[in-house]
Amino acid sequence: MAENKIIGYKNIFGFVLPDWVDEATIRLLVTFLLSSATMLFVLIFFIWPRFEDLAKKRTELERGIEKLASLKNSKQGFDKLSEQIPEETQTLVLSAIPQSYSPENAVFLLRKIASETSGVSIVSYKLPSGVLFEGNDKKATEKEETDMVTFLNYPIRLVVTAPVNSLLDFIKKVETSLPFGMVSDVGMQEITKLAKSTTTKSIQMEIEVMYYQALVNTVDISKIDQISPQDLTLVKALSGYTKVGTFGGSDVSPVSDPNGLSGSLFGF
Amino acid sequence: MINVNLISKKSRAYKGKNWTRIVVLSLFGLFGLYFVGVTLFIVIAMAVTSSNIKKTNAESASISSIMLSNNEKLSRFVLTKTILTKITNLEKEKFRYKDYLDQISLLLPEGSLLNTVDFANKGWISLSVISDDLFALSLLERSLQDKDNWVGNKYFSGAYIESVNRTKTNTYITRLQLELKK
Repeated sequence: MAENKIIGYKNIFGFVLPDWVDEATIRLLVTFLLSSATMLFVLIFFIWPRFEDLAKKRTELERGIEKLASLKNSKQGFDKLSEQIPEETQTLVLSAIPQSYSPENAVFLLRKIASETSGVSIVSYKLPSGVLFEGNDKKATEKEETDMVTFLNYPIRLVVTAPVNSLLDFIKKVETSLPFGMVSDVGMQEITKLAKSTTTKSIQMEIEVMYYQALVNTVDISKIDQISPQDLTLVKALSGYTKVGTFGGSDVSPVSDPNGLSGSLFGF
Repeated sequence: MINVNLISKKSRAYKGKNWTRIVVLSLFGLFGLYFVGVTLFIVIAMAVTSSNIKKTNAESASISSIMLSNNEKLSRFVLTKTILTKITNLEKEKFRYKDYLDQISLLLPEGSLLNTVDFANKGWISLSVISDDLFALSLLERSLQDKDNWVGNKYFSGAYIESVNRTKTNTYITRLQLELKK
């Protein structure tokens, strides 16, 4: 019996297998299995993780393409600027919200507008505390930041005496003069009541005029939109505004490096 | 004497060997193809994507440098665009009291006169109207009820009459509120 077992079975790689099992096939199977294991190892540790890297790279590429598209859009707007808005008109637009602000010049402008409007006299004016003597510190009542430009708001409270119609005329002139000012607080009820009762009698009223200052921050040139048709309509409207004066320096601050702010604060 | 059927065992072994080889070769071939395919895909895709990223970055850098080389024009462009956007937004936020008053006067029929206006409540305009007589008052009511006055109205969405009082001089004072469109 023991002889039968020896004859019918054989030993391959330490395994006792039937005699009819082909050794070459077993060797082939083992070779393939080892190769497959190696390939699987390579797949698990080197190839499959690359799919994540590839996805990241593709996202990076998509972002890059998007950025390039918006950059090209900015470039197109940049190239067409002089074509769309002549340099003289650009200066006019820039003077609407200047890069420098001087409270005394602002008051001077308001006085000039008042003197050009019959019957209007400015009784008093009130500036936000600290504006006149703050030197180089950026001090304003409110700050409104966009990505590239910070707008500082400077309110001036005026007590004005004038007949109602002249007062309305004065408000209109302030709102259609450059630098751009907004009359933001008017006792309309009082005006309406008085407009009905009398047009010649002088009234005294407190109004608030808001002036603005633009400060250029770090500029991301891919985020600048082109000048839109709506902008061009506004440019046309601004061209009709009266240029009363300036707040001081008229130079355009250069676009700054990413680390710092640029643009001077006050014009004196 | 032990008889061993060697022919059947050989035949079985031969058949088994064939099947095993076919299955193993097929599986290995498929797996090998997958391995090669995936490896090639990753290598090519990474190379192509990296090259495209480089190309995009180079183009962006070139455009940026062109724009930055003309710094003054760039500043003008940025400021012009942002100032125009700012003024547009300010104009939008502006309380259009003149337009509102004009619209109110359009709503008032003959014989009715605007007496007081109050813009104090946000989203509402309170006003009082003096009507000369009862006929003028009824005209005012009809005007306020007329749907044509409200459909397509740019500024107001509706009117609510608070009170109507007769004065000693037989005129009528109507206090009403106009709701501003948002």
